[in-house]
Amino acid sequence: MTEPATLERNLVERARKGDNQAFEDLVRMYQKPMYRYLCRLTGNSEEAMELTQSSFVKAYLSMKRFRGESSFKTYLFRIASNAWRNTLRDRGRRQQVDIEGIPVTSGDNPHEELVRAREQDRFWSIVDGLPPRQKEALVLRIREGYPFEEVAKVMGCTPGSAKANYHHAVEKLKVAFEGEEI
Amino acid sequence: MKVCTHGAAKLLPEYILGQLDPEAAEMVERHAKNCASCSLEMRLLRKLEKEEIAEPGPWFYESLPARVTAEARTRKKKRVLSLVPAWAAGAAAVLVLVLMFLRIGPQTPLKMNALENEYLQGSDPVSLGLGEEIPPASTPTVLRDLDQIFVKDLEDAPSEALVTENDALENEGYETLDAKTMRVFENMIEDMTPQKARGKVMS
Repeated sequence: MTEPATLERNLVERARKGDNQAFEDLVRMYQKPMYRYLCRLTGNSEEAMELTQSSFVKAYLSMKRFRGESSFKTYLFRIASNAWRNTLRDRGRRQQVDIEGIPVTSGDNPHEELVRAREQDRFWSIVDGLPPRQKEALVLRIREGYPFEEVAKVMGCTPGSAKANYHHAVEKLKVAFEGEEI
Repeated sequence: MKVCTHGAAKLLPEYILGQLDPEAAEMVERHAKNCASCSLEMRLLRKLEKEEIAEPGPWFYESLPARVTAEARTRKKKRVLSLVPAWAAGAAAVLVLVLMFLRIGPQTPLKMNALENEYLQGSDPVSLGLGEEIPPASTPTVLRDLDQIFVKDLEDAPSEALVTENDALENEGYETLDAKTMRVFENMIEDMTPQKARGKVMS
């Protein structure tokens, strides 16, 4: 049985030579991780679907520029991250959530489901309100389980900068939820 | 909140991701029980890690590969076309129209055989064996355009020798005068048919 890394290398090599079938196999291989990553970044399923498709299209069009210095998944995630940041910039409406303005939930609320939903909304609203680079570092490190070296490759920065962005994000979350039940 | 400087604090992401060996994991857990900062961070990271994603319907994953390559190919074509300057595209279009108007197109070279040469120099086609003489009585007094073409066609009825020679020339990739005459004649007939005329009007 072919190892995933070897299989990926073969597919990438064929796709670089214009083999559409090979590129479609690469899409099949990475479409779920790409969608989930973008879903976490955007917080919106429809937007994540659109960005997943457009990111793969960009990857197809720039296939000849991929030199194999990182894994193909890292390369795809970098394209996805750029696409997401471009969307934010184009819209000019990155939502800065007012942490103080979000209602704090009480453990005594009888409507437990409602409380959980609100609590969840508050948590994700705060995560979504983090500056893009901090959110990206947090998602890549915790959701994707990438080491900081890999986080840096996706973000196009140094590992030190990736680590700093991650720590800023965690500290902001800790400040927002200090003294609360999570 | 005070930032924890304990060694265990740096291992929290690895702990959440299950990347620590059992001893290190136990050390982190022990520390977090007595450290408010690390305990909160652990809970926050766990919540983040366990978040469930709203998966799209199966149609999305099933159709995505083909949609991606189709869109990419379309965009690639558009990109190539956008590289051609507008003036060049316009000039090419004008050239095509002019060529169509003048009916100039790629043609095979014209080569006449010996009999055709003699005929063009004024020799009697009947004496050359290129056809049979038609009795004058069968020809209408006033010939219309189409009749004339028809009669001319009969006069030019090819002999066996001419057919053989023409076939040989055509096999060599030439268009004989006879073939060219036929082509022009067929085009004229085609242009005059009502269907073609209607088609032209409709298009």
